[in-house]
Amino acid sequence: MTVAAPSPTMELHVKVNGESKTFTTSLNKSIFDVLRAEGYVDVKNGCLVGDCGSCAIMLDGRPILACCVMAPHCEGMEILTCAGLGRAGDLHPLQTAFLDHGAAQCGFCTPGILIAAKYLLDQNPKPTDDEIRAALAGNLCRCTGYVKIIDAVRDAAKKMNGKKKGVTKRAKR
Amino acid sequence: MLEKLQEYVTPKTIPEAIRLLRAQPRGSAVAINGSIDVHWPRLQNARRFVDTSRLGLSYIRETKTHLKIGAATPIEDIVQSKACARFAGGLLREAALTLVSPMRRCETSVAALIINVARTIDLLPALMALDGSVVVHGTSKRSLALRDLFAGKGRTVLDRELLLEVVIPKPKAKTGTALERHALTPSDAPMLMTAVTVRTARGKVEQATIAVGGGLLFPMRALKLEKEIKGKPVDMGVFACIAHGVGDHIQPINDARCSADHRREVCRVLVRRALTRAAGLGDAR
Repeated sequence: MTVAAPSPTMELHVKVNGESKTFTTSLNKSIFDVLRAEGYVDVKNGCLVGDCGSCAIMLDGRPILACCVMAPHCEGMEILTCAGLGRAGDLHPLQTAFLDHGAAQCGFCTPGILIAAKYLLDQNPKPTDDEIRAALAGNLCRCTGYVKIIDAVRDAAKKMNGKKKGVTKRAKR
Repeated sequence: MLEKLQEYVTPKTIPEAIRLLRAQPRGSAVAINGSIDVHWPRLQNARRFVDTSRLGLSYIRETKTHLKIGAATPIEDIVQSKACARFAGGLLREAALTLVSPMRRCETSVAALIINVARTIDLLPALMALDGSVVVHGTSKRSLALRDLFAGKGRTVLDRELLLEVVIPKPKAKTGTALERHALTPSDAPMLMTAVTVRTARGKVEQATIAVGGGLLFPMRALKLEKEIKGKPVDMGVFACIAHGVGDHIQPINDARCSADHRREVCRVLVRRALTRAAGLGDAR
């Protein structure tokens, strides 16, 4: 029996949550493998086959499943994980809404859902409930707490729209 | 995972990408667009991945006669595209949305679905029903109808050729389209699905295309039945008869979702509904 030679290593240059990083990785790894190895534990290991949405991250402003994207493909790109959405004391409205609504039960699927919800609100600031459900169709919650999640996304959208309106009014004055 | 992979190259030009694909034996070099799917067996034996995401092949262009979709275009771009929304009654957009996860739509390219003969979303049969073709480049550039492309489960007839774009002719006036699928849930792989186009004039079918996919090893066109329906009256009885023929014509798979026999029956129902709707006779449910 022949054993395949180990996959060569490479240096990967990416920006993660606003910080420039250089990681050393085998080139047969997914970006999920790299991020987890580097301590980004908010990128969750759900199914590793692209079915559950737990490992969702933003890659150059678009949501992807980290387990299904090759690490070398991300060279020079910007990555945003759930932890990069806000900071302690300055949370993203989606994060605040999830807290307010108790939308995280065990919390395992939450990072992926926040990323999917952010993409939705980036594209469509006033989504209907059906549009929220469609946007979260790739994220599985095994606690089955979808109602609170949808409530939280709807609430965050309202708050973000209200904030934008306020800014416009002040600017007009 | 991907234990044999020794090289990951990201060419900047199409000739370079083709050279990198052709320098390896068949099956050893694989063009990808960055994302992978464990269900695609052709990736497992690859020694070299050729990343085609930086070749400028991500675009949707509408000309007077055609819609052209670059091979590296993410499925999400088809969903977002206004050109795709108005093209052929929105059939492409509707089919693209059957890949329900926005994350999957953002990372999966049109070429990935075609080259890996993806069965779980409805885009390939929709492209086939619209008479789509692919432009590929190996030793030379050539165009190939999608209906002639697939050779088996997860296999195409291409040999180390790079898929450049998908070209879809604009349907003629008075062409109706419809897509019908049967799945356990909207996000589940279909037991079977069909995409059809019907052009009518003076109460008769001038031309129809019928593509079936989902529960087959690879999607196919029912060319014999398409010939048969030509010139027949626009009538639900005729459509039921043709749909029955399509059910006989296909070779569905047996799997955990349902049996081949059940798929034949589902096919007859779906094709009848789709033809009825595309011909403007209303919802046949």
